[in-house]
Amino acid sequence: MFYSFFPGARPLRLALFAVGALVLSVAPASAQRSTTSSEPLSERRVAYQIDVTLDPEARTVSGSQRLTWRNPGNSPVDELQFHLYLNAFSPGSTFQVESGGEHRGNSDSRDDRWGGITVERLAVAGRPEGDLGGVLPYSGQPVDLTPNMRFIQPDDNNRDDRTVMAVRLPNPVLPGETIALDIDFESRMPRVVARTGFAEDAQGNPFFMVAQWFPKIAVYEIPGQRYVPADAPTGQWNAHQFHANSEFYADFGTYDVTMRVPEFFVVGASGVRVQETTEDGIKTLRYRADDVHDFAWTAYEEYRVHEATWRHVELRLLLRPAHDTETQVRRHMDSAIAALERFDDWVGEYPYTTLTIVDAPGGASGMEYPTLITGLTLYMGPSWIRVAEMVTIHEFGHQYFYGLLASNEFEEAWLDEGMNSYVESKIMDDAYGEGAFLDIPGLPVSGRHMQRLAYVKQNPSSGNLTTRSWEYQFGADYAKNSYAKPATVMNTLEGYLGWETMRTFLRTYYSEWRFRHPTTRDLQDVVEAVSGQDLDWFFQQYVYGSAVLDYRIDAISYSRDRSIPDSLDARYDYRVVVERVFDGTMPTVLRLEFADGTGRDIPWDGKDRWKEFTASGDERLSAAFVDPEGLLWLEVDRLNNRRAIQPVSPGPTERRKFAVRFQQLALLISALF
Amino acid sequence: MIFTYLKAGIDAMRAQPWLAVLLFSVHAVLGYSIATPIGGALKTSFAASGFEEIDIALLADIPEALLGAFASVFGLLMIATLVLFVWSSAAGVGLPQALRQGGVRSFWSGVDRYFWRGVGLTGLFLIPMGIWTAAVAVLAFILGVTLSSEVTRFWAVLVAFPTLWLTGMAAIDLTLDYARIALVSSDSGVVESAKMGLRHGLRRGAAQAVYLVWFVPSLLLLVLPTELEMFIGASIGVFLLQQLVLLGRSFVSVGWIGSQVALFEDADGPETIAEATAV
Ligand SMILES: [Zn+2]
Repeated sequence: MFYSFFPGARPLRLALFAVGALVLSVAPASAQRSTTSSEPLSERRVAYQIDVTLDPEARTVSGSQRLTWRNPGNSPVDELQFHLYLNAFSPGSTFQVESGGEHRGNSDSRDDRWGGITVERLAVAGRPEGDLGGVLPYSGQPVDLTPNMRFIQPDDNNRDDRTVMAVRLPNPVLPGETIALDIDFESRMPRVVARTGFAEDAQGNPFFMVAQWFPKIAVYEIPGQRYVPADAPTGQWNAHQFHANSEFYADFGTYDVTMRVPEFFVVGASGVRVQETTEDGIKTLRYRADDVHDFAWTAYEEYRVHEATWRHVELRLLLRPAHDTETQVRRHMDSAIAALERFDDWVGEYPYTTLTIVDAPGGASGMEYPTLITGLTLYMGPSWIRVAEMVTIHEFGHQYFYGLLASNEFEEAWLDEGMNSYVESKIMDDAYGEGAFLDIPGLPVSGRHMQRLAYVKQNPSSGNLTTRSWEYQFGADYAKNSYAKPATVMNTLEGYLGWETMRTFLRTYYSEWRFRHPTTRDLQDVVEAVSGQDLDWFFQQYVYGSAVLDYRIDAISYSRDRSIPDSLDARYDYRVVVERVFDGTMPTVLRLEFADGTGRDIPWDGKDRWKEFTASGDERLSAAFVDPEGLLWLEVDRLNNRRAIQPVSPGPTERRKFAVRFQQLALLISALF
Repeated sequence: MIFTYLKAGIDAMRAQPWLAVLLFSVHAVLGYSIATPIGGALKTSFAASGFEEIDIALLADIPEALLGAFASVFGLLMIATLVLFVWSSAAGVGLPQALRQGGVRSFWSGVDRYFWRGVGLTGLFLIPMGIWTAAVAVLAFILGVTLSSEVTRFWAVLVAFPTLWLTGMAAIDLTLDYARIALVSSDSGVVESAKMGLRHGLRRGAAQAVYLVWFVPSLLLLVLPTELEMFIGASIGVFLLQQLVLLGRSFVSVGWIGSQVALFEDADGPETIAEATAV
């Protein structure tokens, strides 16, 4: 929307292009909307008009951008802050120092691996003419701010880190005013290690994932927004450096991006393509994306393009040639649609009209950008290992938690990755059944079990969800507490509240908070309001804290009640002792199982360290079972939840099975040696 | 030509069925005798829960519950494997002894006379097996990290290298078979027998053809018990069927060695060898 506030102030190059180019529009721009709404969906504090050229030889993306930013607060702002994320790939950056240049197993040691972004000029643009629709233009003077640029390191004082830039303004931006900046920049794409950059395929063809690539204004949080106190005198910039374990945070707005690439490239991008022309071997593409907080694109000659439509959404799948099979197309499209359908039903409408799924190599795979995600698949990958499906569903889920809700991923990564992993695990299980993740006969592994195991079997007491992502003491703790543990926490909360309440919570959370950057506190408020319960005991233990949950049956016995004469039917007294092994508690149920196959559930608040249960009845007790329905996904040991009067000894069947395995082994050994 | 040797193998099975029964019985007794204590160790550690079906969550908890029992289970398995190696060396010399020259000698006389040299041969052949395995693994690893094409990497690392490894292992195994036959036929030393094994195993196309022909049924019969269990389920009936299959697999072992003995004797001439090894 800011874009239309300044109709006469487009960058010069864009205007020249529009007049002079041989226009072969894919479709009239007016007919294409990037969202389902003709009205702005978000507050749109920013607007970007970017016009760049990709030079595949130099591996640069260079050009200019007109950035407009509105001061959303009630006090003047005299400094602007920017993310220059791509500088993380320069020597000495905090990302390099923290990660050693390695990201999730990807690294590169070649001399040309570095990347970075150079801001060549940053200037206040002239005031726009005409009717501005109530927008107050910046009252300061058009002035070159390039000399005012300086790098700051708010997180660690590493002077070599140039991922956050501050620019002092000669005149402040007054409350409600909108400032327009013209920025010339050149981005050199690093070799792909972490999400963004350049790679060559086996034939030497260049691949580009152009992400975190342009000078991007940080979020100015106003009083009352997120954790800034409502009575704070001013707002404050929330800009963090690029860390080994951190992702992103930005304001919503509009993107109008024109890119020029050699004509042989197949391009995929955020938003909707409104124009495509080719002249003198150069392809010019223009994309629009509204109500998003980032823009990414990819260019690669060898992409094989597949398209599908789901309701209002046009799906575009860009596969690399080795993966271009009917099976792969089906696996990607089916899982994307499975996710679209369930998110629509469980969380809310997907308001965008496009979804591009990119089969990106190595470090660029498995990542989310607005309306564009990168998948992860394998040549000849067996269908019973559903990695391609899981990654597609996961990255699509980010359209909601990262894209539409847009929590601060630096500070509260779990609100994105963790909530997304929760819904992803449920979609996997709903769409693919018991063996959703690994379809092994006799030993299926579901999506939720996979998430649970990644938490309970990896030092579960270490770290908690709300640690800021660069402050985890151990790298493994970031991943566990941002993905697997929150997914398991939410599955446990669902076990406690029931799916209908949980679904209402998801829908309410989404409808109340989309485009508004919710915090952990906001999420807790919604789930408490929806359930009508104070859930602080739960959040303090498992969200803010690192409580570990485990119940164990310590003893089980029963005896015949001797006071009843033998002539009457027998009565028995039961005794079960349960231990709460660690500090975590959850209300649960103790089930007494009887010899005749019946059972009796005894509710328990789960608080006592030791709890003796006594009861009586006319059946012999056969076993006792804490949480028989398996609702406590957080429980770190399930085996000790049950205890039988008569231990089940490995029966003759097991012994026979074992003997046969051994005989086979014996034959194999004697054949070989 | 090959048919002659195959027929000789089948004749060997028919002439001395008790050899197959012996192989089968030793494996069965060994298997059963460790199944019970291992079952007992499992019982003390997790069977108290009374869970009858194990899912992925319980399976993941078992290693922790088993920590105490693990040492004893592991120890038992190690001992059983060692016993298997010893037995396999014994049978490796016992079988050719019982089958050569029309089957006039006993299995046990072969074990008695050649056991230690048989163990020596097994030990000697473990060296090329180890070197080959390490070489292929290292090469596959290097290619795995350096090949930039995912497709080439797939075919190289997951198809070509395993095939190459298997082929190499089969060649070494084949050589070991002939080395053992040479050992009992010529009463030579370990190294001399290994050389003769090389000559007969690798330089003669017929030896490789015979190996391949026996390889197929032996592999099928080896995996069939697992398949039966997977598709029909475990029951006493399936178990008996499995035992029958495993007995059949033991017959194949005898037939296999029978064919190789026939081929060996055909090459060097039974008379000369008989003279050289006359007792
Ligand atoms: Zn994610």
